[in-house]
Amino acid sequence: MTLPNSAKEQHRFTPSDYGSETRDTEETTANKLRGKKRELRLAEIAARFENPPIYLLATPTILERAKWRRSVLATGARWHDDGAMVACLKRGIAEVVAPAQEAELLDIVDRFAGCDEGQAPKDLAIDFEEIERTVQGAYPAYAGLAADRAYWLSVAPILAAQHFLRGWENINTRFEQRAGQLTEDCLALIPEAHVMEIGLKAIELMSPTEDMAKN
Amino acid sequence: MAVCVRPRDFEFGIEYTPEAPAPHEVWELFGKGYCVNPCHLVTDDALEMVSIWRLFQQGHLADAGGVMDQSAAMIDAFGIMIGAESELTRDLEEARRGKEKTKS
Repeated sequence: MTLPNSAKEQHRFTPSDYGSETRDTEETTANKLRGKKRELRLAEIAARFENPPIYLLATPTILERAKWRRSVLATGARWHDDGAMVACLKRGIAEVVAPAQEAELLDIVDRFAGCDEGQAPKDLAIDFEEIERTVQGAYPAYAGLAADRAYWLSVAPILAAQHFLRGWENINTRFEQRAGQLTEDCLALIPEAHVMEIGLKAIELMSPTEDMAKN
Repeated sequence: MAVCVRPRDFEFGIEYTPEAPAPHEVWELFGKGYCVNPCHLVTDDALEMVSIWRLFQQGHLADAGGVMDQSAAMIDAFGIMIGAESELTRDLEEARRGKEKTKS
């Protein structure tokens, strides 16, 4: 992704269920069918992917991002960053795990936290998840933070979609805004999965990614 | 960032490209070692970003209005770039002071 330099830039976004990977998977499955069924299914897929829905997203400005953050906070949603989660997890380990095991588990947490997102070896990720599950069940402070994050993830993208969606193509519904935001009625007409993806994309456009920041 | 702020550091070893990296790390930037001359890793987008940042430092904004009307991601990036530039300048100053001490 290129960093949006100008707030005038609009971003065209196609949800993943209309992406080329999804199409390939569907076509592979259809090719296993025989005769007319196969032809019919392939034609259906071609028609579906010919005019995919395209969502037009605004580049969030400083002011718009602040307004979005305000509306997220107003719902009571809070985001705790990875550093805070790891620190709390370590306190939980010290509190609920037998002292003999503590050093080993803390080492796993440190090694996992030191990996880039999604780059941790599979075994390490499994061990980390197991520790997280155990601490979450026995240490309410960590369970609370995890619940906050889950709630934020279910609320913030929806509000981001409402704040930053500016239009759409190939959708047979009128795009309606009130006070600069997509109306709730309109939002309800978009598939829920699309709303989440649109929102996450808008959130991605608000700040440089980790890779960009490193660069 | 480093390539724009300290271009002379990357004038040598220009032959160390992503296709033919050096056998060992030659450059160190922000705690990371590089076998490829970092000037080969700079993208057009990054160079454009540096130009916009320089204009921003001179008081020019990308869009009409004030800072609040600018792309949030871009302003955040400027913050990161300011931090990186001061780190690079500090390193350079320390190196210079070290050299002066050795001379005296």
